[in-house]
Amino acid sequence: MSRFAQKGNGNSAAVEDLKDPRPEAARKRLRESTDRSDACEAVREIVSNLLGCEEMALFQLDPKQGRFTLIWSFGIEAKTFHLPKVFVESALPGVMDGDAYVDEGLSDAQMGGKGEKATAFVPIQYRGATAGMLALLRLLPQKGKIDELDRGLFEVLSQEAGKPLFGGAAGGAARRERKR
Amino acid sequence: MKKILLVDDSRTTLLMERMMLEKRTSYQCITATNGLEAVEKAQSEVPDLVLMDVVMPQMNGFEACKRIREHEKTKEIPVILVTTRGEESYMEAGFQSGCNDYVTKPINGPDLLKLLQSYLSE
Repeated sequence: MSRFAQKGNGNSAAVEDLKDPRPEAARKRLRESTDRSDACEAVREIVSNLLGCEEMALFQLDPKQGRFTLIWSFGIEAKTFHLPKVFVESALPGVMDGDAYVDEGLSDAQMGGKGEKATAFVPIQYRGATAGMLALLRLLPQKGKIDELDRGLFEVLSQEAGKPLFGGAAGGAARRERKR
Repeated sequence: MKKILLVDDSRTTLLMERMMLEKRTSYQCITATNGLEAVEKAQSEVPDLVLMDVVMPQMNGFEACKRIREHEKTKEIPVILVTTRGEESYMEAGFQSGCNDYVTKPINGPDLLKLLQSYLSE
């Protein structure tokens, strides 16, 4: 069972349902990304068009500081954006281990009280370790909630976005730091 | 073979729609990445249906739909608009532009296939 499947429901076949073309399209798009800028555009297209969320923020992990730094965002006010406290309190350990965290209906107050409703935190992996994290904030009204098939998209984002995002020159510093 | 014109400025959406239709139907897919190109391809290819995004560069889906309706050669082609914007005002603008149907993203594959089949059935 994939680590991106919802724990406890026993529905492993739904993770990358062959009837759902979205994960395959997302994987192809990310693999065709030419650089970080194009990879960010690919992430935006996947999250917005295939998942139904137009507020997102992408972070890179600084392995020395153990801190996530915002490197790109869409649909939010980046200057004033703060990660909801639920990220540190609940999601961080799983994200570091490569597990996506999905909000199961927490209130805005529980999510930080600053109106920064987070839907999911998706680890972005590169060379077998978490190198970044994608925070998905409010879903489109018609989307409702993250479902089991959406987790197949999380898995693709987690496994495929790292190379174009962190594998080039921009990821060099992080890689060198990790080797020390 | 039925021909569908897919129009979207998102490479990911075009990929997904193409994969879905080419794997599960016998429809032939052609693509355009903005409204202007869509109007031109509608004229030159005369597809059986147009599945078109709304928010696009150069010419949006509403304007492209109006232009498709203005031409004798293309005015009867079913146009389905697809967008992330689900507000009623957007849907009204879509129908005023002459679209036959309005679908919100994220696309539900089986539902979209049923909708396309309802327009493309012999």
